[in-house]
Amino acid sequence: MMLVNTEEVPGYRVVEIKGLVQGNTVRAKHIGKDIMAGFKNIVGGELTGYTELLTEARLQATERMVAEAERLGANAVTNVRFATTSVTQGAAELYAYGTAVVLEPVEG
Amino acid sequence: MSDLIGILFQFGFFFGLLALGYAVGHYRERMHLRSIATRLASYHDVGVTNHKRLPAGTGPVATLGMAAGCCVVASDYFKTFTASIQNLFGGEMSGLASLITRARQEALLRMIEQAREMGANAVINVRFETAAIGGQEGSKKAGGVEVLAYGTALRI
Repeated sequence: MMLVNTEEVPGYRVVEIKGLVQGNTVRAKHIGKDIMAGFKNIVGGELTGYTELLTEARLQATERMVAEAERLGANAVTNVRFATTSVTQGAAELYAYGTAVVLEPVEG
Repeated sequence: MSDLIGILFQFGFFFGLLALGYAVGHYRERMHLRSIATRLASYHDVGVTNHKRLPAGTGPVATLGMAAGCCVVASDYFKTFTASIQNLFGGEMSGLASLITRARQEALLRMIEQAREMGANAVINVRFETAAIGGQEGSKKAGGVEVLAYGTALRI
């Protein structure tokens, strides 16, 4: 499964568009990490716990999107976009969407 | 008397946090900017663009997939305080601007790192996404800004 965020894929040709596919997840970190993040608001800097959380969550949303694309019989998802929304305190929704397509390599 | 001690204690606590935020926050920002500069210099072999396609006449291209980098940053106590003062008069909140710029550069660097691991030497159609996470509107509770950079990794 190839994922790209362009409409065209260099070296390939789109032979069939299967439709829009999407995946999402809402995640929260345990209270300990939230407390640590509260301390970080004093000294500033990166909130490593949240970075990890969002990276994992984004992977999961992407996997769900890929699973849907596989079910449609696609071999690639083009024009992938990500969106993040803060739902409640300490929780975030990660959303990935794109167009499932069938790609064919271009000869020469 | 005990009221006075209480007030003094509160002020001490406030200024202590302010000083701690300024000292540690400032130091970490300097270290981070230095690390960003050295890493950027070592990744000059990867071309990054937000164009959707490569210029015509570029040699054979292999598409490797998507590369993404993410970074969540929090403001320090000093910056939050300065920003709340600046909020009264309006204008640019330079401390917060530099914070987000740093996060964006860090996310971009992480994206380039991932693309390099995939064996890419170019990333096209780069997009930035920013979201406020944690923290509640109008409160000073733990809040951060997430910056995501993503693009399509290619080998030319």
